[in-house]
Amino acid sequence: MANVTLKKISKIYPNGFKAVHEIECEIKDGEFVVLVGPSGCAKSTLLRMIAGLESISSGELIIGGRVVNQAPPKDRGAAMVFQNYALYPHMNVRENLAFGLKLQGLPKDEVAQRVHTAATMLEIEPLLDRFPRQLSGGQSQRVAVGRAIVKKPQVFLFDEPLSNLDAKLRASMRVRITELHQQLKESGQPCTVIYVTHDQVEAMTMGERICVLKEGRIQQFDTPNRLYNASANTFVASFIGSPEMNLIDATVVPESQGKRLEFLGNTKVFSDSGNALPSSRATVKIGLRPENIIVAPTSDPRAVWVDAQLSHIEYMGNELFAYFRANDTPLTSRLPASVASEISKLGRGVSTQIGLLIHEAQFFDAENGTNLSYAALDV
Amino acid sequence: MSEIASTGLNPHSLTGAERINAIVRYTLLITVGVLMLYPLIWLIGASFKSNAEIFTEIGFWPSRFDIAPYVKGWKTSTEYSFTRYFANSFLIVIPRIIVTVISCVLVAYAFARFDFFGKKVLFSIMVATMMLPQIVLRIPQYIMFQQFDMIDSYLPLILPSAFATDTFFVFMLVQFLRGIPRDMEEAAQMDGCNSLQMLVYIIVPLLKPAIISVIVFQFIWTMNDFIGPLIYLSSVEKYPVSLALKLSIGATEEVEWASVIAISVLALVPSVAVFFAAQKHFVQGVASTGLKG
Repeated sequence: MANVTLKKISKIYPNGFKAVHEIECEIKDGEFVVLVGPSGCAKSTLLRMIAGLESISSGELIIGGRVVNQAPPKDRGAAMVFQNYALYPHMNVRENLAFGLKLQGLPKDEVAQRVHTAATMLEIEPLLDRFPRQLSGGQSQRVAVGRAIVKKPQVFLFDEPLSNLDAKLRASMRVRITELHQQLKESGQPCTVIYVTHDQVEAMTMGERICVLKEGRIQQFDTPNRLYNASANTFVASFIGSPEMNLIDATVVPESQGKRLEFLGNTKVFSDSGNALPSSRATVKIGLRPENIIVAPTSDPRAVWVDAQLSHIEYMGNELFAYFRANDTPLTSRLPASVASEISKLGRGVSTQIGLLIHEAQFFDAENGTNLSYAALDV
Repeated sequence: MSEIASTGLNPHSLTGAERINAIVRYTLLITVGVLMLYPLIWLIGASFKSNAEIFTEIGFWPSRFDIAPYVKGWKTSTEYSFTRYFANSFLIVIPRIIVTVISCVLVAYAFARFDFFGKKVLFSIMVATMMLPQIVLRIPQYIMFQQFDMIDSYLPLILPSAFATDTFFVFMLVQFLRGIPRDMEEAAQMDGCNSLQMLVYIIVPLLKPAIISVIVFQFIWTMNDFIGPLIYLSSVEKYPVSLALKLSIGATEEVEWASVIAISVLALVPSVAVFFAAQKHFVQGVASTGLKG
């Protein structure tokens, strides 16, 4: 059992800078949680506080029902994989894996057996007698994971472990780590994973739940699906998803039959987004995912068509990203490759009609960016 | 072949201008190199010469190769041979190196990796003592060791190093440690190392190139130290090589220069040998600054 509970955890540096603001969250036993955010959002600091490498200024950290604020790293039941692997350069792979176990004073044959099991699982057996300088990035990565596995930790901590790998390797390691988590679960050694990354793709693909951080505060702690479709605020909405969500300024005008939404010059629609919108005149932001902007020949009876100028196209193979400007608002559209021939006929700056699927939109407060429909949405 | 060379396709072939350039450079380097080494070459040559030859011949090539000066010089005019003096030197050098390495590594570890009250002030004081001329300390140190009743023993030569007074080494180790990323230590911390285990299992292996530099420098400096033994040692049986060498000059009325020079050559051998033995690790030290995890 290793729930990890953070109760009002804060970090204040000696110079008075407050990096982490009263973080509250509960990570369940065996769960794969990703901490994600832009650089400087204190995600690594938070992880290091859980590991015990950084002191906790205030609040309580509970691992497996035990308050471990003052416990040294080795007594927290956690193992960590570092960004640059931090393998001991003077020890070969076998010694690197065994070092922690030897310090624990485990008998020799158990150490050998655990090293063997981990090496088999990670397919690093042929590398056991090599030194870290003789390993490639991906191999070092696996050894670093192995060094964590042998300790049979209750909690796995990953600090941006894939950011030093090339794109292809990163994708395959992503799958491996997720599989490993499943494998450990099935082998009856379930472990909680806390994984830090700045890459939202990694977060979305790996995390069972994702904690989005900004400037030391939790923005949203939710499943990937809800993060994408029911973002708590504009920060989460634009951080998650690539290309970024389109944010369109709009005004809500209450009328007798309902609420009228005015945006992009003089486009007017009656919104059926119901009670989410304020009932008095107010400014809001419409959050529209790129896939919710369509061009002919694709059509949708509910689409609101507006004039826009094409500024740029990016071909991705299976799809393409088209960048438009409508009434000086930049809009990005994710289109299927089938419209490539249509859209490539358009020159730069040529006006065309684009369809906005407003019924798919999320609405945010123009002032503080919170999702107006957040409570109502249940995806 | 010449065609390839002139088009520069073969990197190992030089064009005409490049060849002249290389010849000029190497001639210059060899000339300066020989000029610098000449005293040493002369010293080795002179160890085979007679007194008259030393003072009349400018060339370094001796008229005969005779190891008699070596044998004679080794025996010395005192009751002890240089076997004894070399042994004495090592009795000072080896313990001193051991205590220097232990004390300096400990102090450097503390300065580089721990936060404690007054760290900055203490570090600047320590660095400041590096500027202090050694001679200033001689008298108070002598009086102190006299009161400890340690005169005419090797302790005054070894003991100060046990307290990391060789601040240059501490400074060097601290700088080296600062260049080593902390990740490995954090990993070791996660693995359950305490501070001392961290030092022994992680820091010391990483510091190896720097520690070897400390050993080499301390070896050469202590081996060549003259004033220290001169002040603290009074019995001839305890003299190290540096003092014994001086003894062989003053002992007889007519100095046998060839013997003195022969022993000088031999006295150089340990330092040179240690230097060359450690050279590989110096290079390794430079290479490992681009440390990859």
